[in-house]
Amino acid sequence: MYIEGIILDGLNKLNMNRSIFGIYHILFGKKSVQSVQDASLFQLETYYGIYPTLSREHYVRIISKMKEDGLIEQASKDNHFTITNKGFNYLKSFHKTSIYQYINGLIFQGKDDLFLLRLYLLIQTYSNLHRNNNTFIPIVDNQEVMNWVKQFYRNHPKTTTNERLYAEMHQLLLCLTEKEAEFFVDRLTGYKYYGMSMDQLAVKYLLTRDDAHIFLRGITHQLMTQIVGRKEDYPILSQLIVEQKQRKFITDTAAKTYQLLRENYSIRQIAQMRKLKENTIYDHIIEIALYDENFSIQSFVSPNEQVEIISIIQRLKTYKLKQIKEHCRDSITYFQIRLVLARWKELLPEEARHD
Amino acid sequence: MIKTGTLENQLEFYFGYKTFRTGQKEIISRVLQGKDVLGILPTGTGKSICYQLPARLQKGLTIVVSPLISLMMDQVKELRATNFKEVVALNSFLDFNQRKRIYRSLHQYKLLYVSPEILQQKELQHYLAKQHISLFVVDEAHCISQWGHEFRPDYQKLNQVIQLLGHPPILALSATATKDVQQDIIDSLKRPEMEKLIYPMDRSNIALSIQEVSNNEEKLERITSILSKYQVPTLIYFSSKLAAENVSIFLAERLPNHRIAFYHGGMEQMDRIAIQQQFMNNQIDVICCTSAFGMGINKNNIRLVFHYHFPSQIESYIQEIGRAGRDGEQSISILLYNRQDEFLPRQLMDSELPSDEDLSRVYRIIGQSIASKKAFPTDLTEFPLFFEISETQWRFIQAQLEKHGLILENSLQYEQSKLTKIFQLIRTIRDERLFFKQRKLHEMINWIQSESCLREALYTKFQEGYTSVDDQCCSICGINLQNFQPEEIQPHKVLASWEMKLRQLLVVGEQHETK
Repeated sequence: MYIEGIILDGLNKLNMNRSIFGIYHILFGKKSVQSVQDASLFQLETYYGIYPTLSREHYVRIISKMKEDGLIEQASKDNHFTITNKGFNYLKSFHKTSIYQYINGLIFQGKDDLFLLRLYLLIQTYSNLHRNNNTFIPIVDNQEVMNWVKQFYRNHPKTTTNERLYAEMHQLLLCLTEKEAEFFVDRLTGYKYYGMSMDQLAVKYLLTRDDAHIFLRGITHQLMTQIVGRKEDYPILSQLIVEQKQRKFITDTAAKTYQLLRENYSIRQIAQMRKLKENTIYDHIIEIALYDENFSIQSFVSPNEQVEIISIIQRLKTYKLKQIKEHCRDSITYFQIRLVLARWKELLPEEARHD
Repeated sequence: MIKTGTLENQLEFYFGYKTFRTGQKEIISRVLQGKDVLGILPTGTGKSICYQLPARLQKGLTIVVSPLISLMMDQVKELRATNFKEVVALNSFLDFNQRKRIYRSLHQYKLLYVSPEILQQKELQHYLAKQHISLFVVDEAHCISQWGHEFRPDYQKLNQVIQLLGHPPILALSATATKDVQQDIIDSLKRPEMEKLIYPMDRSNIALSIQEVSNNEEKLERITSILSKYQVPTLIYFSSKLAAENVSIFLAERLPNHRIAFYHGGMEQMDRIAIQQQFMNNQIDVICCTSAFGMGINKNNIRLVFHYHFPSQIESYIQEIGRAGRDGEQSISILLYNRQDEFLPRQLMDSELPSDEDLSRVYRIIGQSIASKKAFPTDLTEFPLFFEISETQWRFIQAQLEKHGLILENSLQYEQSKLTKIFQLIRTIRDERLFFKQRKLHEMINWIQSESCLREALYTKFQEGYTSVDDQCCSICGINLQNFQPEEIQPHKVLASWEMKLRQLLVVGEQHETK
């Protein structure tokens, strides 16, 4: 139900501008300029990286099943799909689910798994310590997380921590529906008791494996949203969330390019100095434009050129690079079009965008 | 600390057991005299005491080579819980700094667990060579032998390390080693004088049943009807992940009062731990699993072991049924045999070893890469993808290339003249290996089809004689299920709401319970 809803939502927003695999790359959280740019351009940020264990093979199976069930239709040979009427109804009911409201991929991507692992091990640890049991098989077999919990324990001896942890958890879970809270607590491990595996949860809550995964992901994002929004109410749990890092997606190599740009080297000079192709430097600049809003693109694409590109995008109602390029004057490059697309949202008022 | 007194006193002092189990005392006294020993002890009879007690009693460091990281970790955890803190495990999970720290403080430890791969590291060898090694233990020693059921190429290099460490006394341990494999172990370790202490591996409390069926539906019927009579800890072995999952779902529908789950190597790490530990805690009654389940599982009241598919060799079968009845109580093993099942292991075998086509491709790619000066992956784990072969196939080729010096220090060396010859050799070895595996499979099928006492036919391959069983022997001699009255599991009560569960986890409970 959830995975299909998300794919339909993606198809709807991509509006034939990308093949069906555009959505896959977003769900999987592919760390490429194109996928991050797509997520932002088509307003699919909330789905970015929410299903990192999804294999391409399995994704293809989901798509064929959706086709079989009459939710989508193949529109062209190169993997473009459209939504059927049945599909639109399905999408409407997906929009009414709490998971649709909860899920917030780009913000929590990467941090959500760490939050969960820390929480699982923290609860198991304090549950055992509470019964004076110092040896147990940790449910999380990850040295980094274990070290974190040990460190936490050093700062929080057990006397009152259990009560406080319970109070915070209880307060927090009240923001969920009964079923969601039940699901989440069933996953937890404690003293002489091990929580359910994802497969067991899927069976108990009548979900497919994919939906169980997304259900948990959505719940987790909702919990994190609550904690981040009211840190003072969650002195323990807020420690489980790592601080937002600035420009999370900028790669080391793009950062080097950025440094050289700030030292006023030209693209050609940077390419020579770094022994890279100029095209690679272009990719870096797109990446920088996406993640640093203070970075000015004026020197690469003039205001006049920007206006021209934007008007063509609006007229053609497309984000396809090739089509846009064909309608622009010859001097405008693919790089310039991509830069404008990267800044699309800033450049136009909300109502002028087509999605 | 007790320095004098009988071995029994020391056993009780350090481990809390009053008496030794079969074989332990004989092995330990030989070890303490500094003799080399090959000990064959059945699974679940406390092999590890054979080196853990000497490690505590002797000066210097005891090194244990163990093939399974999870097994090492469990043992370290258990030993630390008994207040033996001078114990540590070195494995690939540790990061560089953690490893470094352990290397520098080796003198503080009495017992060191290592994987055979890590023991090949020059840096570790350098630090170990400075220590006084009181005992070198080769656990699961059958991994040394190419003809063992779990060959690990790095085990064959142990001898070089032993030399480097100044020839400490050796203790080699295994639960399943045929006479050939025993000889291989002794040869590979280069200790012809090694004393063999072989203890019977037959388990008289496990009744052996083989039931021939004509299709899978019939298998499911048999399992359902037996399980509906007994709610006891049960394992059901499968040769495929998908079958394990599907049957688990089917059985859960048919037997709503049973708590049934599946387990295989394709699951995420956390879910694997969860299912294993739920089973240990009696939260689950039945596990549908592949052979990935069971190593290092120390549950002593497993009563039923089914084989929905039979394994491809007798050693695996003995190990799998050996997980039943570790407490000595009556348990039953039931193998469901359908003649068509014979195709499965054959298919598996073919896919594990490189085909002629695979070998020519790898050979060609190496040649081409050299000619075009294309770099090889720097990481050995990337080779399977590079050569378009499976991991198991690559491991096989890698072992052969290493043996002939074409892989040194984790990178591929290249000499055209050698390469051609070695690939011809690899092909021959592959054929031998395939032939060997087919022979093992044949042996397994022969046993399944035997018409005399199954117990006798199973165990005399490994040892002289066996203990005969009057009442519940095997499906040939007769099993009387009426007399099988195992203790049933009392399921935990399930709490009604998430709030109660959360309270139970964090704040409710007997505050002063010890362990």
